Amino acid sequence: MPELYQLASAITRHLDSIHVHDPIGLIRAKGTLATRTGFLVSLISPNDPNDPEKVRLLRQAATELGLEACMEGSR
Amino acid sequence: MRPRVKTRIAIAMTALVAVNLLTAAVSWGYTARATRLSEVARASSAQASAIEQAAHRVTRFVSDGNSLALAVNRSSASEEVSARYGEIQGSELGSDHALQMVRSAGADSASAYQQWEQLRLATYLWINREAETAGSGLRLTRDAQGRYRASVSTNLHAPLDLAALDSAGLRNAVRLRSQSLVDGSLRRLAHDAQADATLAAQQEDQARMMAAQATLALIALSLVTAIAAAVWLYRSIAAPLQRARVYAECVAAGDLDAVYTSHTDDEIGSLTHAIEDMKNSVVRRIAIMQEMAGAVLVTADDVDKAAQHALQGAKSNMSSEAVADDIVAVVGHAKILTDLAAQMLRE
Repeated sequence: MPELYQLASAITRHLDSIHVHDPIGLIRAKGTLATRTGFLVSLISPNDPNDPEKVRLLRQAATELGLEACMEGSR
Repeated sequence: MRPRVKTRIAIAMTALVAVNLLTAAVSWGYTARATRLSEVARASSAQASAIEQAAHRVTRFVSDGNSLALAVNRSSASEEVSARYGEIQGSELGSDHALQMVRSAGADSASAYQQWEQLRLATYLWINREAETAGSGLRLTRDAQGRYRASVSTNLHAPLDLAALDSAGLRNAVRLRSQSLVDGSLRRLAHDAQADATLAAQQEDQARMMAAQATLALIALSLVTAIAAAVWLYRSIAAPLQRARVYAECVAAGDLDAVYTSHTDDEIGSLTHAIEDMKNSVVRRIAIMQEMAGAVLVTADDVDKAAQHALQGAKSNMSSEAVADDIVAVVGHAKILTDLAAQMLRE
């Protein structure tokens, strides 16, 4: 599976787990990720080609939001 | 691979039709056999009846022959002789006809008919001998058509075994031939025909019983087949459809975490796959909408902060460059939001 999809899935699962009782917080977190990266992470599918620029932007946004832990397994 | 739904229905219907056809065929077969045996029994009974009738006629002929011979011997009046002659003519024709009927009823009566011919000749030879002895002018002869009739002369010739016999000997020969025919051949034929009729009747009863038993057994088999087909169709069609319906209702009620695990490789499996794909598509679109909503919230917060900062800056005589920076930031956030909305709309 492409690295972009794996990274996006890992980040999404992590956000779901830390905001399991805070739906508004989850929505805000996903929205912040989208505005930082400039693209909707939910649109990424397993069939999409790997985009190194998007991977970089996603990693950078996740780091800014303090989500480094979830990126370890997707490298 | 599991057969398709319509194939399963076709298999079930074919099985039911096949069992019903088998039932009809077996029942028809036994019934046809019983009918044939019934006809055999009827024919054999008719044969036995014809043989009994022939025996009765022959006995009557012999009796009439005795009466005519006696009348001729006593030189009875011509009227009496004529009457006796008329009687024997009638009984001869009756016997001949009855034996023809026996043959046409299927009995192997060639030998019996031959015995009848010998009995008839011996009887007329005896009567001729009595007439000769009594000095009567009556003679019995055979015409060109083979019929025996009264005449003044005779062309009947006695065979070797009868040529040297006198009246008493000829009378005895008639008696012996009568016994051989009636008590021998005809009785044996009647007994055989009756035995055949009895056997055919027994076999007919057996065939009818077999037909009834086979029909009952096959009706039971048909019932079992119908029940088995119904259960199979229910388990292979109705039950999976029920599970698919429950799954669709769960999804409709909002349980988007539900997973369908009983997919089959037929039309019902295609349906459940389609329902699951629809659910996954809905889940994805909700996630996109949530992310978009989140982006709007975050952008709204940023715009609000920028607006507050600009307002405070305006009150505190902040430089126009600083205000422009705030406006540029707001425009930038709006552009990001516009891009995200465009991505969502393209999906």
